[in-house]
Amino acid sequence: MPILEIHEARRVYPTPEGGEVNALDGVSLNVDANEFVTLLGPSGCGKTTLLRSIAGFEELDDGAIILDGANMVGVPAFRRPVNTVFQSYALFSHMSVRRNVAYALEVAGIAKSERNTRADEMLDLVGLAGMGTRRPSQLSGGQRQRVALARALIARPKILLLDEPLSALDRQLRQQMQVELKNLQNEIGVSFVFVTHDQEEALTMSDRVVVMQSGQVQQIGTPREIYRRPATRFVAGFIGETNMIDVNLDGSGVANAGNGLEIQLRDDGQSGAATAVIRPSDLTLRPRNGAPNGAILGCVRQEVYLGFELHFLIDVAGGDDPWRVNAPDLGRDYAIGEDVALTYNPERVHLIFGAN
Amino acid sequence: MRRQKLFLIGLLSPVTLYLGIFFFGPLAIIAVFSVLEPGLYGGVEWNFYHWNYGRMFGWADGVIEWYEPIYLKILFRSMIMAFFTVIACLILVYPVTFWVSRLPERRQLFFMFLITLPFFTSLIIRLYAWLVILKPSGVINDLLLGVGLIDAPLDMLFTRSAVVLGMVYVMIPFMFLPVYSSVERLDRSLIEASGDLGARGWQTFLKVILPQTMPGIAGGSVLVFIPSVGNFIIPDVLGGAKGLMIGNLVEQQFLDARNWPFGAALSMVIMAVVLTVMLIYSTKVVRAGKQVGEA
Repeated sequence: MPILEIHEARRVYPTPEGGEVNALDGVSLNVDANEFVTLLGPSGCGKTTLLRSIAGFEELDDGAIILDGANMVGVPAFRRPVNTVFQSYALFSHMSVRRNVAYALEVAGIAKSERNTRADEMLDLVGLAGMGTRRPSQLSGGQRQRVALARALIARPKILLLDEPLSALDRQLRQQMQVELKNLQNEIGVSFVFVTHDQEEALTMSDRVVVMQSGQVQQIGTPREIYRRPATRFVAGFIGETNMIDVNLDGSGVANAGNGLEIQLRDDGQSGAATAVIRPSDLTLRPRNGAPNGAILGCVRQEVYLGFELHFLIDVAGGDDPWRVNAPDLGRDYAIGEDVALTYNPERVHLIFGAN
Repeated sequence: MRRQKLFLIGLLSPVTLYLGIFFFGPLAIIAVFSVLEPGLYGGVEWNFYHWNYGRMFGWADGVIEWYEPIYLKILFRSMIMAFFTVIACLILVYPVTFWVSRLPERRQLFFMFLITLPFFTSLIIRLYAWLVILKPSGVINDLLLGVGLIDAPLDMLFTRSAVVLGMVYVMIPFMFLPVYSSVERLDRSLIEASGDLGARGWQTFLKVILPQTMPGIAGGSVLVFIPSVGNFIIPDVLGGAKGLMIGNLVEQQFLDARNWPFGAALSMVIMAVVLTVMLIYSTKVVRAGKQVGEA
């Protein structure tokens, strides 16, 4: 049974121009116990509104939020068994680190000795043992992050909500914290709902990813499903680099992109208009000479050297836009304009049907 | 390095000169006069004379005798009145600052303009307007008599309450500006975080909002308290004989009694007492406020 169920959540904001914007337009999703779910989308997609609605900072216009069997609509934030890690951390600068962490226990009226013991345990858990007497201003960004985490976890929430908590950290620290957060979540067994606009972050940490756009859920799935089998063009474009080609299917197992460009598919029998999605790393770049039958022909438009791999833009014969190709650095450069061929595994070609 | 130093000296010397001459100068004169013999028709005789201070403690001419500690009483009473002024200003201003800080920026600026609007009119004129409101045949009494709520006019004018009322009216902008600046800087996510962690509204207020805005409250309180203690214009107009404050005594010593040294001694004592109170306030009270609800 899911620990959190959201049914048809709706929220409309007035805009300054006098219009209305659907921050949440019929969002439904479930979060299971001990699950790490990420809400992913561009800014303004409604992910933060959804998170704030779960926390109780915003009310829904319509719909239900059922937390551990109890409907949370109309329940004030301080009564909800969820806690939040804020983007700005929102640490109380006038309190010591220990008192920050113990705050939930303090307002619950728990004796000082017990709450100090538990706060020190939490600080230990997040790797800040012995820092309890410092002020938040004396800590680094990463340490503040951990204090915010410890503070939100001390009351043993049923769900921990995290609002882009890593966005203020530099890249290296962020990647380190991603792994730590995931490990911590496994260790303590609390469901995490994590908001981010960073697709890499979402893929790294999540059990499931909820991709949102314009207040609607575009797709819910594991990171692999989201990456390999995007449900819509938006998802395909938002998660990682991709080539999207408009094609027609005639049931023969070959997608026709017009102008003689044909793409092999893994299965046949489907027909109609669709979008073929091929990831740049699923294409193999090779010289034109000796290319097998069915290879896609093109010539090099651009080459970018990234160290661990090369990124190419390839003008494909019969194609509209150049294709992106990522290739490992094999010590060979291609000249601009050089004739090349692209091969691929048809299993890796994903089709999106429908108008999206 | 040398050029930077010269530049700094150049920037800071005007204010140093100004304060040195026009702030510390008069202060030094007052301090010196307070231990000189009063002249017959004002001014001073250049003889050391400590009875100015003695007089305040009933020891005016070398003999300790029973006395009415009237000056100390009035000083104490002035501080109580200033204290009530601070509290009243704070209670009036604090909720308003929250409301204003949530307005759109343009309306905030307009509100700041409204707050400073009274400064555009002379204080004396505004105080005489209060006279019109409070006097026995004034606006309030006319209204209450007319409605039939009272049979005889209320004695509102020439009371201590009238003085506090007037001081609150005059001092409100000095409370508003510092409190507003710290309320405006208050991070809303702190309030949300507090609620998120299970704090009720009053707990959030005591444990987060109040301590976080304490610098503004402390600053505003000092800015209101100090000019209130020594004020003589407001009690002059609205206070009458009952509302006399220590500032009026100093004024009388200088202008009517022509006893400059005694007025100077009174000023020095006021300054010492007020400084001490402020020092205790800024160390003890502010710290206590920051740790409200710790236990």
